Amino acid sequence: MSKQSKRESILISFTAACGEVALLGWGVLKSVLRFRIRFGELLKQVAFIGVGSQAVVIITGGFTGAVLAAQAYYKFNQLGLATATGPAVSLAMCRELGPVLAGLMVAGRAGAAMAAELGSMKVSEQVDALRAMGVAPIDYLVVPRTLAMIISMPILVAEAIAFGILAADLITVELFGVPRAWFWEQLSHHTGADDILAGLIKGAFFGLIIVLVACQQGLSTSGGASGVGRATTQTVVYSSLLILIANLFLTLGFNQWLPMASFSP
Amino acid sequence: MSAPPAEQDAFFAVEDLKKAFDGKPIIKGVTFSIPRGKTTVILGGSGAGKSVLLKHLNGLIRPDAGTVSVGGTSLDGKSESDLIPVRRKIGILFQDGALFDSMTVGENVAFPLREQAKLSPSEIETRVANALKQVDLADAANTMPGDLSGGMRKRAGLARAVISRPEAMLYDEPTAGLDPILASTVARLIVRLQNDLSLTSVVVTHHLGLVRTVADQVIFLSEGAVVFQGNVKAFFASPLPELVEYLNADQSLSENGDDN
Repeated sequence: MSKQSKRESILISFTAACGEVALLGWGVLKSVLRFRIRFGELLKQVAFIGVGSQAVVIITGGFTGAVLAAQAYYKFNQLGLATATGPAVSLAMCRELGPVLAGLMVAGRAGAAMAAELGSMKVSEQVDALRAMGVAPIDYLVVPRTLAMIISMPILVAEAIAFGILAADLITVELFGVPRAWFWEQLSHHTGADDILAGLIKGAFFGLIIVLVACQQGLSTSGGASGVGRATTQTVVYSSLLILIANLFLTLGFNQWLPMASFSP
Repeated sequence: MSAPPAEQDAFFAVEDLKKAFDGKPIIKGVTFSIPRGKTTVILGGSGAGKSVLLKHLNGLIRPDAGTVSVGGTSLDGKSESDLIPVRRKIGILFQDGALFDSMTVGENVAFPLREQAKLSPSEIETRVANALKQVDLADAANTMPGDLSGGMRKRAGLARAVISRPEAMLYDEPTAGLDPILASTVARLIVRLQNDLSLTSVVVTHHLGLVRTVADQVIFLSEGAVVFQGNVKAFFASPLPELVEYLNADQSLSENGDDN
């Protein structure tokens, strides 16, 4: 296969997968509106996605906040704006880094695991067995995962933001000696509820992307063990790409509807 | 227009069914009927389209052309939710049992009852115990599917398939991958269930021993087409070249096996 036709084939399969993800989303919506929710499965998935992803999200958020604070402090300090480190970290964590990094980490952990689990069920005819017993795979497999992801992601994003800011406090106050009161006064002055809300909404939206891509890839798996591997890889790649692309449009939208608090002394 | 006498009592009726995957025809316009309360074996070589045909009978695979009727109801154009009542009349044993890995054998067997019937937990427990006893797995209720042998997985799959008391059973290669002793155990189970529950059974296999043990009727598929449909005696006496070749190959394999 030539390079150009390979690129075209990747583009076509990505576009086709996006279409199938949208159709799956429609199926989930119909199922939820008919209240076909299995609460036992939902709780299991909340535990798997929400509780199971906490450590990785907290570590990612914490270290990102710390690094951002270290970088921002050097520049701001030269300009005599050392206390702006807190707001810079806080706004970046709330609006962009918290949701995006939590999304990417959850895609790598929970999304990949979901695709592998559903893919294995598909190739070993367990999904057909569900259908044969008169149970809709969307109701049983996709809806609980979707709701669990939408519940869990904003909480994980909030944790990533909180630990990012706490780590920034540690670096800025303990390491660089900025007074803690200034750090928190400036941070709270320039970070509003809209900034946090924007991050949490982004988190829920990214969660929706991850779960729908993972379920679509898992449920369309074919070709045995290699097919499961392919579905897992594609889940991480597609959901990461879609998160980054969607983030741009969400940011543009939120700048209109949930704008950042204006800087005033 | 009334159906001919032979078709009036058909549980499954398939007419001019065609199916292709990626442009490659797998089923090439087959027509047959499966009588109620009898066991029909669909026989054929590897890649003949047997399993694909079987999965058309409960709507797991949709045909490209042709019709499938179950108990007089056409599956044509039915949505997934419309198919649910039809599928609940039909149990299916998949090649490897298709047990849910995350549940114990007992939970697997109880699954259709929890989903379909409004039974109390104690009633479900009793029926699960009975179903597992029926397939000689009374002690395996708390075992995870990963800890079972191939034969045990199939028997657990069989218990799950019959627990909701279906009107018909579909068996996809029930003896594939089993040693002769286990294969004969599974064959005996199929006969026992047939006698106990008076099911309409369809067995897909390439194992001639099963034809002798369980079949009332045989359908022989070759390259996606039905080349024979009739009773067991007529099947073994048929002069059709495809059948003669198949029977001779099986006999030669048995004799060589004996020599070795």
